[in-house]
Amino acid sequence: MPGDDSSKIPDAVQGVSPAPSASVEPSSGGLPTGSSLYGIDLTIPLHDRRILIADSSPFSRKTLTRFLSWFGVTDVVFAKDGKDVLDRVNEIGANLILLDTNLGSLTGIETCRLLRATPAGRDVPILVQTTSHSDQTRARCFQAGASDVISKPVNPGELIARVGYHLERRAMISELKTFRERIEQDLAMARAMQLALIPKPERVAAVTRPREFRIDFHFESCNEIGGDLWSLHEIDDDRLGILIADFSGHGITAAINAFRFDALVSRRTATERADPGAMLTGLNDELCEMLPFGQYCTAFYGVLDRGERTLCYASAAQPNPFITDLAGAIATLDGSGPFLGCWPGEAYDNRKQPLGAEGFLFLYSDVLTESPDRNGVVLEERGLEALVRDAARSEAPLKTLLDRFAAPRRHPYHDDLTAVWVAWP
Amino acid sequence: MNYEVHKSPGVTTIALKGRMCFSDHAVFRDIIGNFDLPPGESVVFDMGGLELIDSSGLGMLIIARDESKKRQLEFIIENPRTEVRRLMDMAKFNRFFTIRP
Repeated sequence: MPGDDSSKIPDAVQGVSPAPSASVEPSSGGLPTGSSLYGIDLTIPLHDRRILIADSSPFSRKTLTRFLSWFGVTDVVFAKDGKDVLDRVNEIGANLILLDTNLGSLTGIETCRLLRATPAGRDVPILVQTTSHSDQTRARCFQAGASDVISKPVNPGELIARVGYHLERRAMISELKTFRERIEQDLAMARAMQLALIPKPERVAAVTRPREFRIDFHFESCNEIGGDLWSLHEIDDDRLGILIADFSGHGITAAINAFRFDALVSRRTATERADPGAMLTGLNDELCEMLPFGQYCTAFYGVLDRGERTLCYASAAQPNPFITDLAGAIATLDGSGPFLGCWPGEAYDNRKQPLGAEGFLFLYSDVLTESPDRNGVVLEERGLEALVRDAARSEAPLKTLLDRFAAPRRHPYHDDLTAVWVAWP
Repeated sequence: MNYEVHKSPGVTTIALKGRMCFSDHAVFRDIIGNFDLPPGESVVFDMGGLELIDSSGLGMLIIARDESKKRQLEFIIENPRTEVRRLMDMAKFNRFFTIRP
């Protein structure tokens, strides 16, 4: 009878099954250290787990407690009925809840459903015990959010296997969640650092205004962080250098490379900054030393000269930029060139383009030409040129262009996006 | 990306199919497994079945070339489709690779 069964193995009364075989019968309320019932291996220790038992029968409560204690679970809390569970679930903070279907006025199934609607009960494993073997009842338990259903009479081996499984699963999920949160925090910080590498609008304005250029830009990563980069380089009163680069791959690897690349760029001499070919040649040599084989970047570096009215540039496989030519028509620049970081000793040539009285230069990463719309169609260079032509006539060309680009496409794009629109009067 | 390997005396042809992308690093490692050949032999990447290549895929070609050099194999790229060819041209691959139309 309840109250005097502490050393006895319970019989299959009140829905609790007979004891396991004699060889594993516990002595003094617990299994011998390190042993396991029927050879069940508990992959996680259970001694620090708290289990809430909601069962109206004192005998069942006692028996379940004893079964659990054989496996090291000693932190057991009781609730007398469904209302009691709901009132105290938050305060108890159980790692797992064992609910009986028969819980007085509020059934176990209903309690389970209500528990799932509370913050404390939303994720906790809930095991429902039922004497019913009907498929319908068991299905209703699962519908109410039960993690598992245990048949009464409860067998200790099955009980502990299921409890262990659900606790382990919960522990893994919570570990993953913690890991994910940490990574997300790290990535958010890395993203802030990456954005700090990109020129701020105030600096862009300060650098471009005296030289009578106007620059609009857009920069976004497809993941939290990415491998795109662009920067401005003041050379003298007339000349302004613009660099745009895109590392192969995505995500963290590409982003780390972008950081290293930024450090290399900041080390370039004034002579190199004024000479695009020398700039890319120097960067290539250092990147070849630095990058693992097979990683590389594409880059374009151009020097706009208001005095000479030219753009002098060098390019390493960057998508062909658009520019207005002397006649005011839209032309493409030759963006071809060997990747940076693959071919040691490679020399990059300067190319020159005259600037008309008024016009623009549009630099962009390849996501604009290669990102498919909802019908799977990519713009390619010709399609982008049409967008550029229309956008050039509008008040805010870059915004117009990107809005029209975005409309038929899913966001975020499959790759990082950098776009720089330089205009002169 | 999928691939098929065809062997003839002195020449191992690897026909690539589908898309050669960021997610294909494991497949690519398998492909490189076929480069275990006597020096002087040729490895041909038949790219006729390759619909798309991204920046990581181009990086794989650079690694394949390097792997061939280390093993003293001749590395040849064959039949790239127009779009794949355009990307290789952008990066001046013809200066570093043997590309057959």
